[in-house]
Amino acid sequence: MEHSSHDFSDLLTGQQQRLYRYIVSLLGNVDAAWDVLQETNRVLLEKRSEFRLGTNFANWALTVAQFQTMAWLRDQKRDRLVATPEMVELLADEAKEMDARETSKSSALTGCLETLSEQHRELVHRRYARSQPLAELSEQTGRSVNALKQLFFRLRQTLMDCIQRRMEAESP
Amino acid sequence: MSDSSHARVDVKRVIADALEDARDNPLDPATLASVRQLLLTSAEARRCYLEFNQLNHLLTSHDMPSASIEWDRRPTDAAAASARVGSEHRRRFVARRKQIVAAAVLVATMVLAVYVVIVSRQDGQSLGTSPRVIASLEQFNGNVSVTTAGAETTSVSQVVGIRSGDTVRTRGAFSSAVIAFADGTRLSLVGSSSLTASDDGRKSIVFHGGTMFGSVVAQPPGRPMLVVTPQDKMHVLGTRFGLDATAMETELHVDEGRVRLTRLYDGKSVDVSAGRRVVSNATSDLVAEPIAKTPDAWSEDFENGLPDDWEIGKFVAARLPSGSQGAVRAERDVSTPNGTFAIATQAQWTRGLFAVHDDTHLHFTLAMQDPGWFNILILTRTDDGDPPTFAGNYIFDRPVWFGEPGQWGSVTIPLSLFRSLPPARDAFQNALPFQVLFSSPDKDRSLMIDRMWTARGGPGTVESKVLEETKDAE
Repeated sequence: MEHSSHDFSDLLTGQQQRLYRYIVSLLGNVDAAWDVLQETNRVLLEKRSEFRLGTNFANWALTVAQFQTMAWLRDQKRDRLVATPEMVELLADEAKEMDARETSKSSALTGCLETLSEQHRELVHRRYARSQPLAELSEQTGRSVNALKQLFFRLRQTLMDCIQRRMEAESP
Repeated sequence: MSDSSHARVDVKRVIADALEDARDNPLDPATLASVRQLLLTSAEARRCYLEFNQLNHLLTSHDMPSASIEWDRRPTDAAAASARVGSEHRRRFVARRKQIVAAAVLVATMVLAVYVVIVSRQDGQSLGTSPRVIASLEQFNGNVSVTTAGAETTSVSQVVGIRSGDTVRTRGAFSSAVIAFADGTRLSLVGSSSLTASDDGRKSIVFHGGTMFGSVVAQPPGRPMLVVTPQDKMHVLGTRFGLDATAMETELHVDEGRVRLTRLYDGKSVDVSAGRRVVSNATSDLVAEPIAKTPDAWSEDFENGLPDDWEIGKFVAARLPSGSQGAVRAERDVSTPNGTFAIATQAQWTRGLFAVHDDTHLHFTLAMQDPGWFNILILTRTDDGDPPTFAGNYIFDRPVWFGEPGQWGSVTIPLSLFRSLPPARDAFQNALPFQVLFSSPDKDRSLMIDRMWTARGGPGTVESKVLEETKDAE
């Protein structure tokens, strides 16, 4: 089925957050993910004539994003990020499956953060929302870097388990 | 190493610790290699990797109010040493740039940007509401996003209000957006550019870099619009202007009115009036010069290498036509997943690459190791008096060259035979070319171009011929 540029634009803009999440999950770097998203959008626009309405746009767009991520990694210095093109190829399908559950994870996270102590919530905020380096947090809190890594590992695990429990409880 | 050989808990810890470290600094080569090996061989490690990144993204984008807790500030010896290492790393990084002055100015600008954001947030907080809407984002194309003062980023898909402290970003040659203020002032961001806007009775724009055009209506007396780039600040009363800015240089074009530019580094100022431009960097004389008209004829011959801002292509100095010193060869366009090879000129947004007339022709001399079909795209911006935005592409996608492998030839194409792709208008109406792109989507044809140029006058049809010197060489 043919589509207008307006239809295509609606589909593409509607998937921006999902594409970005997917690329972040593959790359593990939010800044690099913006660059890859930009290139993914450009390629999708260039290839829009290949897309047919009624087929799975999200799946097609995520596949293009996967290839863009691999291409971007091939073009970068290999010591900057943990990810490699070979790894992305292995991760792609599982990342798609995990991403499909992302919306409910987000709402579950709100409640799970409430279960942390105020001090731990603030630490999570500083580390992940404000991207404070471990060394800086170490200086501020008086805890060693290794102790903080141990603490964040535990807090992350607590949050993941809590999210999982809430999602299972909410599923029909 | 098989999956079963990794103890579950150890794998989780190894991956989590490595990714935590990688958030702050690149991993050392040995750790990086072992983590990559683990990820390639262990499904469990890959699942941990994805979970870590997805939780990171959730936490980064989640609205988590800070509790403003002050901890007891007694660093351990190890933490203090680690912090010193971080500081030393940053000091070495700055020293390596060998541009300490420019870096200091950049830091000052960042402080100003933060100040603008803080003022904007206080503006909203004092009223117990979000910062007020000061403009709307309109006429957007391509990849456009808005980051609020609260660090929430949204891709733009419809007209949105811009609040004091918001940062607008466009990414890629196809992207543009117009920030329209209530008083009729319009700012156009094009290409890969970003700005932070605020208005507390006086408009302040922190222009982080890229290309911006402004059409500014008369501002209240004593309250000119302030535009700050990494190198300079400008006071704008009522004018039309264009800005190209990087961390190291600002180029200002004034089409109407007058703009005062002050270099932050030494406080030196220059008034730039209509029809003039000035380049400001650490060593320039800050002298305004007449703006050159967009040329009817444009040419690149690569005799002295590729221009600094050339976008895609590799310089080559072998297998050239006689008398030539250099050419450009297509290279892989990393933005495409299936092996597109391309040559793309610089993106000349501000002045345009060349003017288009009814009789304008594109010429180029080329050779291909694997002769075949390729596309030629001309990217355009609007040229109708308003601040420019992306106007669309014009494409020529018919075969033009049938020479032997490696044989040099010349091709001439009238621009009137290029067809527009949405949203471009017909016949380059009010559209100014800013970039030319040659691409072979199916494979690497080893396309080389020795010279490309446009000029008025020509046959009015497509022509191609083998270069004489190529024939002689055979």
